[in-house]
Amino acid sequence: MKNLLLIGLVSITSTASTAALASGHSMPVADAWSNITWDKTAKDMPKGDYARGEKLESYGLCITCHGEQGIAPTRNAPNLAGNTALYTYKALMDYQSGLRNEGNGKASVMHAATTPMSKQDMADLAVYYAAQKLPAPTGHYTPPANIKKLVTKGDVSRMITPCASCHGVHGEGRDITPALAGQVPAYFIRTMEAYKHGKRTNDIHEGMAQFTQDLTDAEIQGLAEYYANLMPKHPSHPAGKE
Amino acid sequence: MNKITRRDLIKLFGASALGTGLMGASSLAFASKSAHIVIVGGGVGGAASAKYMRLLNADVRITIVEPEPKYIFCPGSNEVVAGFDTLETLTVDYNTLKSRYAVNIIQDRATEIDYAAKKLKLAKGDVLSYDKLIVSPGPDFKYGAVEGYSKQLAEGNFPAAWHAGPQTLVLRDQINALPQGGTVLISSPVDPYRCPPAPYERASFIANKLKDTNPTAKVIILDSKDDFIFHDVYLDFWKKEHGLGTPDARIEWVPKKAGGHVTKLDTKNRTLTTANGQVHKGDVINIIPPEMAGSFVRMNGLAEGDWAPFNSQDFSTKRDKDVYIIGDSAAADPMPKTGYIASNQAKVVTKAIQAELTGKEIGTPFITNNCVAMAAEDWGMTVAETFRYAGNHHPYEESYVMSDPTDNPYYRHIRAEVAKNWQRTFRKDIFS
Amino acid sequence: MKKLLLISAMTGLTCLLQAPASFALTGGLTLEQEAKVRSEYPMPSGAMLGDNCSACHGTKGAEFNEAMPPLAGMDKQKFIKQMKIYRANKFPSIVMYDVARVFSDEEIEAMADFFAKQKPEEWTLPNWNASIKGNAKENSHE
Ligand SMILES: Cc1cc2nc3c(=O)[nH]c(=O)nc-3n(C[C@H](O)[C@H](O)[C@H](O)COP(=O)(O)OP(=O)(O)OC[C@H]3O[C@@H](n4cnc5c(N)ncnc54)[C@H](O)[C@@H]3O)c2cc1C
Repeated sequence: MKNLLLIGLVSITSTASTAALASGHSMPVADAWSNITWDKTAKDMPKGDYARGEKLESYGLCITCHGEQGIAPTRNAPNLAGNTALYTYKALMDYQSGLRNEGNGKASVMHAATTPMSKQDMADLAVYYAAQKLPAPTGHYTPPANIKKLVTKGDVSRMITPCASCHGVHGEGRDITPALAGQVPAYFIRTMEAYKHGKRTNDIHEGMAQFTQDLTDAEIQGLAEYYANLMPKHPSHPAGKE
Repeated sequence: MNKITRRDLIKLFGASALGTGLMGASSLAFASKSAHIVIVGGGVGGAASAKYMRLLNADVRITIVEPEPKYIFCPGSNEVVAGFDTLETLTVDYNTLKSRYAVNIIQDRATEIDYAAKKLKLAKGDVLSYDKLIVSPGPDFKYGAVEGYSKQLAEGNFPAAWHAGPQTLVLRDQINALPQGGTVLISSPVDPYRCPPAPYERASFIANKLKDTNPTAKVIILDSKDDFIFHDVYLDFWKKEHGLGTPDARIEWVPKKAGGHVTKLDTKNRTLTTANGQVHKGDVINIIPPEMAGSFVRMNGLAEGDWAPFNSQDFSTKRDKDVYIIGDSAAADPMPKTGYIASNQAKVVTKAIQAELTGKEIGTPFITNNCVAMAAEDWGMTVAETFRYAGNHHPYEESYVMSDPTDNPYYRHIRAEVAKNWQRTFRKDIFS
Repeated sequence: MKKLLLISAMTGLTCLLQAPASFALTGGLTLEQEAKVRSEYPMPSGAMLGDNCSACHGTKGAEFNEAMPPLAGMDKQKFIKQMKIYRANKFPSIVMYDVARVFSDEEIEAMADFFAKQKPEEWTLPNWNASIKGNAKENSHE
């Protein structure tokens, strides 16, 4: 726990400066979330309108990179289908405020894409994407024992709690903890690396980053494969069918 | 084989660099028996030629002749004028081309081609033998088209700033020092010139800046044309953001038909006179002169009129099949003069050379130009152009899609951001 | 470019294509004329077509940037499917409809083959420098 607290302290000071140094481009400096400020924000989230979200998917050009119904066509963009509404809502807010910037230029398109959005727009998109479904994974995959253990049991010696305890046994996510089942592996890896290297700092009190510090690159790769191959709780097609 | 190359190799690479880390270059890349590809100009067209030649062929020797020790990209230089980027971001050196792609860089100016002997003379007296010569020296400016204007004035207090560098910074500083309510005059040239939307992008950026710092100041574009690319988008922007058409407009566009064509500069009174005799006074005067092929091209008999014609299939010149012309100096209409185009022409040339060296048929060329221009940091627009080969002695055939004014803020915001992403990727594609 | 301007001045009259939710003018050859020119010469190679993408997608499509996805190493069928979706203008895109509209099925397939063969680059660490010198240094370990 010592480890964790220490990192937590460091992170508070580093969050603001990361944003400030983000780039020569104009990325605003945003305040980090506390549990209190986030809880209030989540409570005040407008009721999302599915139909408006569906329109905004095209009008807002989300569909260009994130694909139809939030199923990403390349390894560049994450799948948005089936993620929790709160996670998507928070991600959009954090891109808009500049809190999620991931270093020079790495999130500037999402910052631009969210700049015109109102909170209502974000809620609409969040609700729309939460209702979309990812296809069942194809192909055969057997998780290596060490990866399976990290997911279900964690690693006490490194104070890594099991991924499933927050992200769910189906990788379905909960509230602001994102769904991971079926996620694009390249996106998964770079997200974990960004957390690990202190470049992604929009989690509350390093709620995620703390678990990435001690993961090896090979473990991150293994987890990416595990989750890419995990059956979503509600797939759009049953396994084996397209 | 001439001794220059060998001497330069030792000078430039040293023993250690020759050992490891070279991308795809073989030991033959330094042997005198390998074909020698010489490139005039280490700008976009020249650097892209060197890199893409190496990606195709590990054995050829590749030499760039370039007088400047570093290259400063023009894309992004309007941002520098407006103060939201620095020249440093746009500046690259030749180290990666040297170390990773085994390209020999000679810091000198090429002067003369001996076509019969296949030799290139350099200003300091060196002579290079070539098997293939790729020429991409960029444009020269016709300062004399505006009476009273000159290269000396451009390098002094009347910057053209149409080749990123010291003049870009002078112009930036002049805008910063503009007196309250002052006037900036921009003279936009006749076609063709490098980067067709750039004068309007520059005018917009300056007006945006003045809106914050000097709101009663004014930008007047005196144009030698009646139309320009993205005309409708820029006019829409100027109306919405700068009151175009109202008495307080922060920006004004005077087309040729309304007397916009600038004929004369009076440095003492700081005025520009236009074809209809109107006199405009400016606190800052930015004349973008009309252009022609670089002097190297004209002096070596490669130009017909202002630009150098070529055979469409491989960009070999009409003058000599082993000498190629690409970039802004080429008579490539309907292709615009852009870095995007210059780099894609380089890919056509290097593939043609590789085909010849390996005894294969030269393939059908294909060229695109995808350009993002901005009106503001959050207001972008795009044009995607395709150029299809239509025969060796015909111009390429063009088709395009271009942004129209839109009230959809997502297009404007995202496109502007894509422009910045593009600039980074492009610099990397050419120089690393 | 002269020609482009000329045509753009007339687009109000001649622009036929109104893409769904797209705010664009088209000009130059119509798609039918373009297809005719295309059919008169051998198809450009996959490398010739694919190398035109590098200014945005990086050399050999390998750049892993935020705005433009890497094409190097992309699954052939995925590439073909996505290019055809763009070409069909099924939904608004930033530029990809504008780019994809001119390609034949065979050209798309040739590009797919070309990119599938290329080595993908990994996402550079997020602290990379905007300037090329930073990039070059950071990539030197690859
Ligand atoms: C403000 C502005 C913005 C622009 N924005 C864009 C953009 O967004 N996108 C885009 O695609 N294009 C843009 N361009 C255009 C682009 O910069 C040019 O089209 C491109 O640089 C042309 O390449 P080039 O190789 O012909 O010439 P250059 O890149 O100018 O290179 C020519 C090189 O040759 C050297 N040289 C000259 N004479 C000799 C000699 N005798 N011997 C040896 N070397 C010599 C010069 O020193 C120079 O380094 C912009 C231009 C400007 C002015």
